[in-house]
Amino acid sequence: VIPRLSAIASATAVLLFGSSPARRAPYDPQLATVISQFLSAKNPLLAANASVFVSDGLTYNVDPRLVVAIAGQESSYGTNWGLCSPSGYNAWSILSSGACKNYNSYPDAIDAENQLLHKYIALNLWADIPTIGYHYCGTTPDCAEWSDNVSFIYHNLLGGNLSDLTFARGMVDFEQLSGPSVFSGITPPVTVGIATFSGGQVLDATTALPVDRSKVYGTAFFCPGCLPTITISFSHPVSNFSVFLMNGLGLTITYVVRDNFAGFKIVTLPANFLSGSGTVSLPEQGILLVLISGDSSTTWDFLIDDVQFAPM
Amino acid sequence: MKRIFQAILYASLSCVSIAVVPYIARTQNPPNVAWSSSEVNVVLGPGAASTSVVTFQSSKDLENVTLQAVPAISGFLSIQPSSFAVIKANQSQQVLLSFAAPAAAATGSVEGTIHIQAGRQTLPQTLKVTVSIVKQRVGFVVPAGFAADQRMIDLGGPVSLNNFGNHYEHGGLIPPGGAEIYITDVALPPPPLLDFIAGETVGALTSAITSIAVAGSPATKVVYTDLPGGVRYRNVAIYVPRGTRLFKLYLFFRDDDPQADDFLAAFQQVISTITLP
Repeated sequence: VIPRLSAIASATAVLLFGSSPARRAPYDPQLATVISQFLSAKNPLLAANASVFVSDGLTYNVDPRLVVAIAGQESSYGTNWGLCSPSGYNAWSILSSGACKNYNSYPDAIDAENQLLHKYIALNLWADIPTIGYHYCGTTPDCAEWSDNVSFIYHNLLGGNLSDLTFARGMVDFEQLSGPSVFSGITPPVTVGIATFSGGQVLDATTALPVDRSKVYGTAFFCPGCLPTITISFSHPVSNFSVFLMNGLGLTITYVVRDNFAGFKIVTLPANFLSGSGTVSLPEQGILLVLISGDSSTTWDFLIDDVQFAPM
Repeated sequence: MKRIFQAILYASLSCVSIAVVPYIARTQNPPNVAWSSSEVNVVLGPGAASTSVVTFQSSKDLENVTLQAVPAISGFLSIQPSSFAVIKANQSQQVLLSFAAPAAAATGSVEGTIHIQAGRQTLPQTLKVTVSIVKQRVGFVVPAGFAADQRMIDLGGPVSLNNFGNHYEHGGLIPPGGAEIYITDVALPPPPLLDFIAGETVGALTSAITSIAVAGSPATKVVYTDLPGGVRYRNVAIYVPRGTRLFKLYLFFRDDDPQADDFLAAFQQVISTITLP
C-alpha cells in the first residue's frame, strides 16, 4: 500500500517558498496540484477530486495530505478494496455498526472522512498519527504498521508536517504590529504577507473595545485622516475569506463587507459596550479586494481582527 | 508399614482440623458489608486532587471498625472518618475519600482496595480503587461504567474515558451504545471565545449555548450534533477559561443512542467533581 516516492521534491519546495508571515503552516496553496499529480497514476477517479481534498481540508482544518495518506493505507487509494466495496466510495474503510459505510460519491466520502478527522484533530484530541492509528485501526497485529505507513505517505511522499495535522487558512491578527490604544491618525497602508490594509490604523488594547483587547485595525470619524472604508487588497487571489468585525460606536450599526466580484454580506452589530461584533465570511473564489464600511460616511467607528483567507 | 500409615493419617487429620476450625469460626455468622459502588476510579494529574463520597452498611453490628487502604494506593488518598467505635446493623455509613497526587507523580495506573477491619477481623468485602495518573493537572472521579483509556495516557494524549473498553470501530467511530469523554487544555485563544468555538464546531448543528460554572469558574456549554464519517453524533462541549489556559471537556455519543440520559449524567458527574489548576 506504500506508493512510490513521488512528488516529494515539489511538495517540499512549495512548503519552503509558500510560507509567509500571514500564513499558518502547513497551508499550501499549490496542494491541489500536488495531490492531483500524486494520485493521477494511482487512481484517476480519486485524483479528479484533488480540489475537494483541499477545499474540505480548508473547511474542516484538516491537512488534505492526511486524508490522502489514510486512503493509501486503507485501500491503496481506492484500488485495492479490502473491507469495503468500490460502489460505496469508502476508500477509508470507515465501519459503522460493524458494516462498511457507503457513500454516494468520492466527494461525499472525502467530506465524511474530513468531518471525522476534524472532530478529533481540530479539537486537539488526536494530536499525531500514532494516536489516530490507535483509534482508527486499534492495536491488533494487523494494525502494527498503520501509523508508520500513513506517516510515510503523509510526510515522506506528500511533505506533510507530522507535528501539525491541521490546515488552517492564512490569518492576519496584527499581533506583530504596534499602535496606540486610541486613534491618533491614519497611517500608511499596512502590508502583512499578501494582504494590505488601508484606511485606518493599528490599535492595541483599544479604549472602549471590551470584545477584543488584542491588536486590531480600525478607523473612526474622529481619527485624523482616516477613511469611512477599510480596504483589504491581496497580491494574490484568495478564497474562504472571513473577517472579525467589531462595532466601535455606542449604538447598533449595519455594516457591509464587499469584494471585487460584487459579492457582499450585510451585518448589523450591537453597540461596542455590548461587544457588538461578528465574523463575516465571503464565499467568492479569487478575491483580490475587500471593502468594509458602515452605514454612514460622516459618523463611523469600526475595527477588524483575525482576517482569514486561503491563497489560491 | 501399618504404623507409618496410621501416623500419616493422624497427621493429616490434625492438619484438617487446624485448617477447618478457624474457617468455621469466621463463617458461622459473618457480617455482610455492602458498598454503594463496587469500585471507585479517579483520574489525577500531578498535584491534582478530587473527592468521592461512598457509603457502606453491615448486616450486623460491628465494633472497633477501621477502614484502611492497601499500601499501593494509600499514598493517594485519605479516608474520613477512618474509624468507627460502633456501626449499627443496616445503617448506612458515609465515608469521604480525598484523593491527591504528588506533584512528581509519574503517569500510569495504580490499583488497590479499601478494606474494613472490625476488631481483629478483616471483612472480605473490599472496595476496589483505581487511580490513573495523567499529565494534565486535573482531578475527577470517573463515572460508573467508564474507564480511563490507558493507551491515551501512554501516548501522552488528553484524558480520555470511554465505556466500551477502547474498542473503536475500524475508522475510529464510537460503537453503538458507546460514549467517550475527553478532557484537555490549550492556550487561551484571543477573544471572543465564541469565535474559537465556531472554529471547533464547523459543519456542526449547534442546538444550545449556555453559561455554567465548572470548578468555580465561569464556563460555556455547547450542545451540538455533527456527522463524523457520516454518522450523526450528539456532543456536549464545555469551555473553561482558567488563567492562560482554556480547559475543554467533551462528551461524544451516537445521536440515536437510547442511553443518552445515562451518558449525560455520567458527564455531569465529571463536571461536578473535576478540579482544575
